[in-house]
Amino acid sequence: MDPMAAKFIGGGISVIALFGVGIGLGKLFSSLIESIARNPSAKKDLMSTGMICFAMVESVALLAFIVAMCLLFVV
Amino acid sequence: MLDPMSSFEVKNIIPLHFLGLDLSITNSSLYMMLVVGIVLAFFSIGTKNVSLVPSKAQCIIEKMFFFMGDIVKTNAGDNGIRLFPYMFALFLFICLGNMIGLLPFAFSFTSQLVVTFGMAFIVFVSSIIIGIRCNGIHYFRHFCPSGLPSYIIPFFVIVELMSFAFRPVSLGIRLFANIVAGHVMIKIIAGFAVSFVSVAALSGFAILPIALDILLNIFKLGVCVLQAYVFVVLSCMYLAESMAAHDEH
Repeated sequence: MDPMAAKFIGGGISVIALFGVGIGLGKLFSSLIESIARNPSAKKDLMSTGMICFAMVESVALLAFIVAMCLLFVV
Repeated sequence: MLDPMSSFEVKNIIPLHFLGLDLSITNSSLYMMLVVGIVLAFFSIGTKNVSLVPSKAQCIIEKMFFFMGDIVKTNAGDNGIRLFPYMFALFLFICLGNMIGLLPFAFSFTSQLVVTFGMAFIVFVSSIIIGIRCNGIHYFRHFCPSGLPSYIIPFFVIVELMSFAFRPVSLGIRLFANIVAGHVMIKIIAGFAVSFVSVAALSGFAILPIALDILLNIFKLGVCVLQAYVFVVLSCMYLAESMAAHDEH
């Protein structure tokens, strides 16, 4: 295979991780909204926990992004 | 020019070698000094004439102070309030460092893995030192809780040690990846605008990527604060955990 083509295909494959991140973020925010709707007075605590979890889930997506960028521009 | 990675280059401004160490002033260290200077100047101006009815600058400082105090207290407990000065400094440094990179032609030093990993590593090493100082040799029992069957202990210790060793890596890479990804995204979308303009028939459509870029910049402003917040909360948790490790036994 042409090495250039392999590079681009690898970059595409590396962002398949976003599949899991999408599921994770969807579940996180659906349960966050549900719990705020059940108990609006706990919104402040729930939001801060939710934001930490959001950043943790998002970091997986960003790792995939870094791998893709390394394949496209660095290798 | 259109290479999205070009803005992350560290350029040497004043070469400086001392005792075999490379202490050159680069654009990265220049922006770090700038951030520290801004924080120092703002805080010394805001707290010059402290009064019961605060001035505008004092108001902002008090707001940030209590915001950080709340974070430290909820995550590290009342005993962890000793961490407050370090956490406050860390938060201001990261937050302003992220934000200063959003200005045009500016360099964001948190997009260098060595900077973020360095900060994470300081937290990691100090959590070990604090743990040993507060709990002595009992600190290491934290890796091996009592009441486990003996055949499972080796695996458990290995898994605990690995997850412990990966803390600074994940802490550093999270901040680094967030900032780099945001900058690259903004630059790639700005590149679309350039390629729209270069074709005469499509030059009117260049407004779309520019509008998207403005929105992304606003979104990035939130991400800057959020990442600084997450970094501080996580390092607060790690340090508090090593302070209170003896409570479990």
